[in-house]
Amino acid sequence: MRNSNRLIGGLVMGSLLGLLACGESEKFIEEACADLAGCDVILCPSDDDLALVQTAFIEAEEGSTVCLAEGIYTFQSELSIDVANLTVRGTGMDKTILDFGEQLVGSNGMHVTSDGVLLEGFQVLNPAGDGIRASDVDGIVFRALKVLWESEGDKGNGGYGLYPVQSNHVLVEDSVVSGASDSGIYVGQSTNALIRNNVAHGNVAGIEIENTTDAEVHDNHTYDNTGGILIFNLPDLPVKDGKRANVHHNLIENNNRKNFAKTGNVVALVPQGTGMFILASDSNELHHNTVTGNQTLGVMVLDYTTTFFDSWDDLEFDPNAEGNFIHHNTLSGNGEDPKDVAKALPIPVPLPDLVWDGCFDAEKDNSDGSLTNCFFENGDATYSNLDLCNDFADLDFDITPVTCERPPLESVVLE
Amino acid sequence: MKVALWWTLSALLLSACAAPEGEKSGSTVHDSLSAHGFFIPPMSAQIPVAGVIPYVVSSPLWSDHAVKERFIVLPEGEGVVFSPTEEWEFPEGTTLIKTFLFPNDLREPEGARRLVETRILLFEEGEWKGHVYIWNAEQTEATRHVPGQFTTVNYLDFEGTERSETYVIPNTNQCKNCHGNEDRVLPLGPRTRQLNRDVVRDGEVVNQLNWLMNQALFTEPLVGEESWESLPDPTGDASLDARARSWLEGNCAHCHKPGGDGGTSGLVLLNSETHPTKLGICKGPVAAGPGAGRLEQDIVPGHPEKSILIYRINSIDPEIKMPEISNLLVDEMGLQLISDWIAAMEPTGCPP
Repeated sequence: MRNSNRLIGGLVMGSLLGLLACGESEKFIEEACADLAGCDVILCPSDDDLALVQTAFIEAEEGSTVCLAEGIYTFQSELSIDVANLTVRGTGMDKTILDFGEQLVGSNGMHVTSDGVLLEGFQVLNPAGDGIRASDVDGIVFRALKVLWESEGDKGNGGYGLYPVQSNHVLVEDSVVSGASDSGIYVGQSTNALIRNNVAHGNVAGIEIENTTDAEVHDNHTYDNTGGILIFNLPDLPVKDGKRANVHHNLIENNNRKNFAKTGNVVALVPQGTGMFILASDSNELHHNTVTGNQTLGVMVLDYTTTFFDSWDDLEFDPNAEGNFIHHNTLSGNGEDPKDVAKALPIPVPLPDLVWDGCFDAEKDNSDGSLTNCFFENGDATYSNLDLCNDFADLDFDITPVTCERPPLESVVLE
Repeated sequence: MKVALWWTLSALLLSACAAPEGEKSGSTVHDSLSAHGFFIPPMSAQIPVAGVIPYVVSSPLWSDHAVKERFIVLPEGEGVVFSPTEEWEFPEGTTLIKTFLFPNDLREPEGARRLVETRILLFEEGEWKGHVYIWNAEQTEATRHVPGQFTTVNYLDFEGTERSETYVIPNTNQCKNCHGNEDRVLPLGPRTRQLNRDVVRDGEVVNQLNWLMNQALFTEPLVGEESWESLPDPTGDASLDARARSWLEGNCAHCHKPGGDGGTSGLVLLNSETHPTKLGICKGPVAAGPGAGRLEQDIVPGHPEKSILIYRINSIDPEIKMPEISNLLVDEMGLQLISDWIAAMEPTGCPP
C-alpha cells in the first residue's frame, strides 16, 4: 500500500516537472489543460523516456489513461503494455512522436499483451522491427496513429506497422502507415477486425488480412505500395481457414512500388503494381472499391498453388479460393505495364482488370455453385480466366461463367 | 495566469493520481533486496540463509556471459509437488531468486566479480509475478526497478581481452516475454529435466534432485529415478544431437512451444518434439518478416548457412535476432553447436 502510494506519487512529481520543462509557453499549458480531461497521468519528454514511459505503463491502474504530451520521446528498448483497458493517448500523430531510431532491444516498438487497450494520437518512428504488435488480446483499438519508417523502400525496415495477431475485436482507424517492408496494416490469425479510414503508402503491402475471419475493411486509401489490399490464408499456422473479409469503398491506386520485401517471405512474391488479391481464402466480398492505375493488375483471385508457392505440411490447409464475391467495383487503368512474374502471362497488355487463376478442386461438389468466385457488375472492367493450373490451356476472357451473385456479408460490429 | 493554471493542473493531477485503496496491500515484495533477508551479510557474497536453497540448471539461457546464481525459498513447512516429466507445483509464497553477475575475468568465475541484477519470481494468490533489483556500485544493496535499464559491464574475456559491453536489464513486463504461457507466468528453470544432474555438495558428487529432497524441498520422498527426465549439459560430452536439443530447449523453447509467444509461428523447439516440420526441418518462415533473411527454411538439413535458425541466432539486430530480448551478444558456443548439429544432418534437401 505504502509502496504503491510512493511510486505513483513519484510519477506525478515527474509529470509536473516534465510539464513545466516542456511547457514553457502558455499555449502549451492551455493545450495540456484542454487535454487533461480523462488523463490519469501526463508525461512529457525527459532525460530518460524509457524509464518514465515504461514505468507509467507498468504502474498504471486497469482502465486508466496515460497521456503523452507533445514532443519527441526516444527509446532504446521496446515498450510493453500489460495492463487491461489501458488508454495511451498522445496529442496527435505528428505531435507526440515515439522515436525508436536507436532501438537495441525488442522486435517491436510497442507490444500489447493485455485486453481492451486503446492507443491513439501518437507516432511510432523508425522502430527496429514491427511498429505496434498486439498479440493474443481481446479488444484492441489503434486510432489516429502513425507508424513511419523514414528510409524509403528499405528492406531493412520493420515488417509490420500496426500488427494485431491472434486477437479478437480489433479496430484500426484513422491511422497512417508508411515504409513497412512487409505490410503496413497486418491483421493476422484474428477474428472480428474493423479496418477503416486508414492510409497506407510506401509499404510492400498496404493492408493484409491473413488467416483472419470476419474482417471489414472500408474507406481506406492505399497507394504507392507494391500491392494495395491482400487477403490470404497461409498453411502451417496455428489459426487456420480465415474467411469473410468484407472489403468495400476503398481507394486502391497506383500501387506500383518495386517490391522491397526480403525473399523467403510470401509477400516478396507479390508483383509490383498489384491492386488487390485474394489468395486461398473463401467467402470474401470486394465491392464498391475504386481500383485504378495499378500497373500489373486490378483484382486477382488465386489458389495457393505450388506454381508460385512452397509446398506445405498442413493437412487442414485448403489451398483453394472459393465462394468470393466481387461486385460493383470501379476499375480503370490497371495492367498497363505488368511487372515481375506477371510479365510472363501469355495475354496481351493491358492485362485484364479482373483475373481468376482458374484453379479449383474438381473433387469438390460445386453443383449449387457455392464454390464459384462471382464477378458481378464491375462496370466495364475486363476479365480473364487464366487456367493457370492447366498451363493456360483454356485461357479465356469470357466473364459469363462467373457472373453470379451472393448474399452480402454483414458489417463487423465491435462491442 | 500561468501560476493559476499551474495550480489547476497540479490539483487535477494529484486528485486523478491518488493511489487506489487496497492495491498491493497483501504483497510481500520489498523495494530493497536486503529487506527480503535472503542472504547472510555481506549480501554480495550471495551466501544464503537457512531455508534459501541454491540450485543449478543443466541448459541455461544465454545472457551475454553473465553468470547466474539461483535459489528457491519455500514458506515454512511447505513443499513442492514433484513430477518426473511435467511442471512442478509450488506452494503459495514460493520465491525464486536469480542473480546475474560478471566475474572480472571470465576465466576465473570464482574470483572477483560484480553483481548487476537480481530477479525474483514470487508466487502469490495463485500467480507468479516478476521483480527486478539493480545492484548499486558499492555492491551493498539492490533496489527494485520497474522500467528496465541499460548498463555497462567490464570484464576480461576468455582470451584475456578487456571488454566493455552494454548489458540490458529487462523491465518487469518483459518477464512475460520468456515466462509467459497463454495468460500465465511460469517458472522455467526449476523442473526435473533442468535439475536432474550431478552437483558437488559438501565435497561430494550427488544427484541434485536427491540433494534437494534432503533439503526438504519436496512434499514427498522422490522415487523412480530412472523415469526422471534430464537435459544434458550442452557443453558436455553427450551426443551432438542431445546437446543441440538441450540448448534449443534452454534458449528457445520458453517461447517456441504451444502457448508460448513464439507459438504463432508453429515452430516447437522443446526437447521432446519429434515432428520434423514443427522442429523447423524444411519449415518455411510463414510470418517471420525480415527475420527470414533471404532464406527459405528454418532448418535445411546439412546446410547451416541456408537455415533461418542459424541466421537468427547469429544476429544482434533487434528485428532479426533470436531470442528476442535476452542478449546483445551472440552466443558463439550455441551458434557453433546448432551449426554443427544442422551440418551433421543428412543433406536430403527440402521439397520445392
